[in-house]
Amino acid sequence: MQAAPKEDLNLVAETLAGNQLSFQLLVERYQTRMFALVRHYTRNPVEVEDIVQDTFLKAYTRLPSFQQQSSFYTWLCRIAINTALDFLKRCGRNPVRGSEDPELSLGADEGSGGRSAGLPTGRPTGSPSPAPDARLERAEVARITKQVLDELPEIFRAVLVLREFEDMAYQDIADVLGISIGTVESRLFRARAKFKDKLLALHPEFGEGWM
Amino acid sequence: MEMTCNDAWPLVDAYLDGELSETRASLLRKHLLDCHACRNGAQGGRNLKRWFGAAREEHELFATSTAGAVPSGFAARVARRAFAGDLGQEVGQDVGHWATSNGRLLGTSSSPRASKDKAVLSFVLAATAIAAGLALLLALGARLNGRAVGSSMSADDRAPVPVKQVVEELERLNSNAGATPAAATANPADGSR
Repeated sequence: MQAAPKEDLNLVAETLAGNQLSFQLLVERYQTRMFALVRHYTRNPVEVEDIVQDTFLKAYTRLPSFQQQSSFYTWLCRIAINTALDFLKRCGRNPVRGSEDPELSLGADEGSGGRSAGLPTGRPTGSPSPAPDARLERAEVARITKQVLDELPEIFRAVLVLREFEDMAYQDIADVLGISIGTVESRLFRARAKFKDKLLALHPEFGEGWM
Repeated sequence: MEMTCNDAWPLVDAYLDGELSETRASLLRKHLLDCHACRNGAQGGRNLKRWFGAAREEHELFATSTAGAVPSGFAARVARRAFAGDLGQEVGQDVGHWATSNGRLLGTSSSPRASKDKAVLSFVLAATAIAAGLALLLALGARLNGRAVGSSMSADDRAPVPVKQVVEELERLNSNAGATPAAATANPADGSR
């Protein structure tokens, strides 16, 4: 009979007590998800490996300060995202950053990213046409998604990645980004609106009927 | 309480994510039943979720492919480095802060070099601090010994003569003068040393 996997907190405690193997198990447990997460920031495999490695080394040094109120995974995600952003900045490939806090400028944006433009009044009222993902190859959808995400300000990209790719609950997203659940909700709403805007700007062939 | 389109629209995404409380979800459902435009908007939200679902499937597929697989032995290597004291490139900076320096510093190949640079810098700083401390102690010691005191700059580095020694010299000179006045007169400097 196979032994039940140890809880993260047990492995953290054993790591702090000097057990290298326990830390190795933690790395093994989350390495695939960390690689997937970091790939949203760079597709270069060498850079991805460097960033993930640095993420785990940072996590190890900061383990004594790990607050067990959040899960080890969300804590790790927070380190990974900031390490990736540091990396992009050092390489001169700054992620797009909002010029102002969107939570403080509701309605100030142009396009459907703004609250007023996001209202359904301007939307077609007929039956929506089939979604493009029914017509496109999945790989093409992924490629376009990456292209559009890269165009978004980082605060919007981060919430979309955590929600749509990591399938995180709002509370976990709030923990990772250090914001409130209400902010997660409003930021996701605006991020999706921005995503649609950018997608239609880059690929107007999709038209507005489907979303 | 009736919900308006302005109230409803921002809630649609959270509703589709299953993150809305039952109270708010109930109000929204009622509004969607009554409002054709918001219902269409909600359908657009569902389509967007399908889009992301397809992108996520592809992303996960890549992660399990040969090209996207985690390099062999990655976990063991990282654990070994962590326990060997390799603290990564950004240690010491807050998680939420961005680095301010330019240039690519992250990376497997650059890590040991950066660590060495840090060690050299630490050594130089420590040596400088020790040298400054020693200089301060020497200056204080010189001041306590009475050297270079006073407000005037002087090249006179003769040691001060104790009062007791001066008195003894004077007494000796007086006694010598009383015994052989002629010799003292002929060579007065002889009695001073």
